[in-house]
Amino acid sequence: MWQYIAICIIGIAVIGYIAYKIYRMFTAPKSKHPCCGCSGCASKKELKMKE
Amino acid sequence: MRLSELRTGDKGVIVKVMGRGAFRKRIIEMGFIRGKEVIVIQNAPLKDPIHYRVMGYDVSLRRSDAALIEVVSAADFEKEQMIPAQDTQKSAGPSILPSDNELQTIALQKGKTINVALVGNPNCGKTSLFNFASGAHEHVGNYSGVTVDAKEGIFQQNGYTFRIVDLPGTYSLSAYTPEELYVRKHLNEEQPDVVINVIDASNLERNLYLTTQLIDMDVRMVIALNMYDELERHGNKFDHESLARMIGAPIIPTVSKTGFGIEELFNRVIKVYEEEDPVIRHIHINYGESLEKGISNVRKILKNNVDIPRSLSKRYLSIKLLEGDRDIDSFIKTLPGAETIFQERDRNTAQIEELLQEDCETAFTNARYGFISGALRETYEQNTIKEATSTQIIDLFVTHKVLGFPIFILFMWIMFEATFYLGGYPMEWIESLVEVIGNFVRGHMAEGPLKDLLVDGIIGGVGGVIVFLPNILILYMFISFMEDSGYMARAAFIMDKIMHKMGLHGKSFIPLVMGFGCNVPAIMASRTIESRNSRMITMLVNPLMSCSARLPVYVLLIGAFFPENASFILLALYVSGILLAVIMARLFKRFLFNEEDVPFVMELPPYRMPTGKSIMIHMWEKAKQYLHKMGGIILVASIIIWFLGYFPRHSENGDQFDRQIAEIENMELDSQEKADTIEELERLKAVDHQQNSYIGRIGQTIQPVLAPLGFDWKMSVSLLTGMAAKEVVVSTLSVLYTGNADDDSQALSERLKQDRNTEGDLVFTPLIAISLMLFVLIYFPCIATISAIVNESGSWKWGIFVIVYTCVLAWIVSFIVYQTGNFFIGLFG
Ligand SMILES: Nc1nc2c(ncn2[C@@H]2O[C@H](COP(=O)(O)OP(=O)(O)OP(=O)(O)O)[C@@H](O)[C@H]2O)c(=O)[nH]1
Ligand SMILES: [Mg+2]
Repeated sequence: MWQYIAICIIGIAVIGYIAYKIYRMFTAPKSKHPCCGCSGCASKKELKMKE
Repeated sequence: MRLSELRTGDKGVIVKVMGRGAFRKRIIEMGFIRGKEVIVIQNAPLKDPIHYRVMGYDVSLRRSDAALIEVVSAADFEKEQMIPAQDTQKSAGPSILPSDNELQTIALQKGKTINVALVGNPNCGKTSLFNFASGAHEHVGNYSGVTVDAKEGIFQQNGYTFRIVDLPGTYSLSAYTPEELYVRKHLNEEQPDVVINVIDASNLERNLYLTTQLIDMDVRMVIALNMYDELERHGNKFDHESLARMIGAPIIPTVSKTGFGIEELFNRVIKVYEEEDPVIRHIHINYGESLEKGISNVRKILKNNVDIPRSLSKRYLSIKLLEGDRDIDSFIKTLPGAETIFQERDRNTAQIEELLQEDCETAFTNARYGFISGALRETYEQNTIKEATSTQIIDLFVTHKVLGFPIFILFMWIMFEATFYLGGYPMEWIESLVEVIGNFVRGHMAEGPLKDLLVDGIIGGVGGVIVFLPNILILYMFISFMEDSGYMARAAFIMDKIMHKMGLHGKSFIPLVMGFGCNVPAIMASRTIESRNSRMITMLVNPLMSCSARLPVYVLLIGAFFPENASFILLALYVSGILLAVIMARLFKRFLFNEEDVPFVMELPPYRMPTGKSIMIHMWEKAKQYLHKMGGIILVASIIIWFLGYFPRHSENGDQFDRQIAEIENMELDSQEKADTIEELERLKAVDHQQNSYIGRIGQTIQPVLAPLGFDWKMSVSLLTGMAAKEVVVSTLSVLYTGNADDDSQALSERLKQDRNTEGDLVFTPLIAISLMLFVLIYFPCIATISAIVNESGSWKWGIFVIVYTCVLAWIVSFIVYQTGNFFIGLFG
């Protein structure tokens, strides 16, 4: 049973995380940054430096 | 705070005066010296000039001039006091007004921050210098146009704080390319206290051209004579001290790769900043009689115009006007009295062109080169014994008309061999580590959904992708070697012909090759391309360059189906990407951007052995990014896919299977037969459950579209999820192809090879693998790439365009490959 509760929590956390990311994508200051929160590439670092 | 922002009655203490030499000098002579107090007598909004009292005198300054004087005021002081006051409650009393002394100390402190801008030709070592001085790890590469944005760094030396900004490289400061405009804008708007002009000692004549323009702009500058090691190695003699006196700017030899001379360089910057340098002075380059006459005529008119800020050099404006500089033209246009200025300009331009029989801009360029060659004749002595340099010898082969291309292919081949086979060993280690972790969890946890999530979703999904880290690092090692050594520029050079066929020039090749690493920085790098047409085409075809995120898919499928011909298939995939890019570029050129291009010269930097350290830094950064991605998007995607595949738990078919299994267990059969039947039923049950899960339904909905390409619903779903990031294709496959229930520890490639559908047929064949790899290569660039394109092109239209065209193209290519392949298999098989 507790495993069901655990996966529920994980599921909610993931949904929250995605919602947060999408929210950030639209509300983040429209700096010229193209990555929309994706951390896949070199430009992420620059984003951090600018912030 | 700027002096112009103080209101009537406010008091401030001068921190520094910005702006160009002659203007500063005048302001400072008026008494605006660091640490001195200024009182605003009257500052009415919208009223010019503003009245001040400084050192007991009343002076009035124009608003635009006052904006170039930095001060600290009581308000600044309070702000600074607030910060400590918040964390130590006891000291927080009513805000105390600063005493004059306190303000003065702050002013003196603030005055010890020096804003420095690095300006120089492309590839002269600015970023190396920047990195060495500030301890940053910005990207360095041995070709032009590595830096496309301003990067800022802060460090301290001798009690001064330096804020240095690394700017993109430019050959000149005319307003032709985006970088040139960018650098000019930075110099005008940020007004750095001191400019460090980095020049490449092995290429003085060309590098000094930019210097002459900086001299015209009348900025305070220190010259870093970089790559001094190369000058010495070639045995050339250069009396840089004489040249420094001649042009009125200190010249310091540096080697920014090793750090030689950099400390002295910044000490010299301090001296210049504090006006203590013996060398610095403002000189006028003599442009010759006819040009000088034109300059002085235009200047006279400008002098009479009261609306031009004093902080702009009139001589500089005149020169730019005569050159027909677009940027300055549009600035002048905003002023009242622009008519007369333009009239005078046109009259003089006509006169000059008549006299010199060449257009005015060329006349200025020639005069600048004349000045440089004159200055160098007296100070520079080239080593007359010309030995063939190693660069020339290597270039003999590498850029050879016939040999160049095979050598390039050979290099790529070696790169893929190493990526695949060398990467195979560490890959196995990581694989077994993932397996150990998986088995540990499997063995030590009670049955239940959480265990399934951990083992199948997270360990399966993330573990399935993380094993490709070594391959990606090796690929990156080769790419950074290519960038740092200078081979990239050669590759671009030999590709020039092909690029011209594409309607692009060689320079576009560099962003394309960078695309093999990651498309996003590659798209940003296309900023260095002057012509908008070429830039747009380069951006639009860049997603066809197979980036490293797609490598896991290839390595997985090639490892499963073509282990003998791995490098060949890899090379073929990358080449297909390039070929498609060629075709698409031609189409775009033909139908979307069919204007003529500006001609362009590709330059070949000398070869430089990349340091192990710089390659290690590249790889380390990449490894960090990859792991970051694992912990972020890949993890989340794997969890979601698992959820969608796990639920709903119950279905009618499932119950039916359970009943059948129960029946067979009760039947009178020999135990072997019984076990086999049950196993088969379990398999069918699992397949059925997956098909009826949410993800199965999604997959079956989109599968009809992709069925003609040979994909089953699991592949279709993987392609769908792969839109977030291409690695997710692998983690999805890993979560969905669970393999035999009793043999958990199978490698993913084995599971793919053995998976059968309900009819018992293999779902994966080599042909399907190829079709899938091609589809992954071409379809939907990741979201980051799309938004890079949107940002660089400045319009959503192009982002959507790229999505549509890549998906359609992917479908067509995979369709052709799969159907013709099938046809031939049917014919011969
Ligand atoms: N021999 C030698 N090589 C150097 C020196 N400084 C930099 N390099 C090399 O020169 C190449 C170019 O360096 P970068 O720092 O990227 O040049 P950049 O001026 O920032 O170039 P852009 O960003 O394209 O304008 C690299 O391969 C460096 O390793 C030096 O003092 N001596
Ligand atoms: Mg650079």
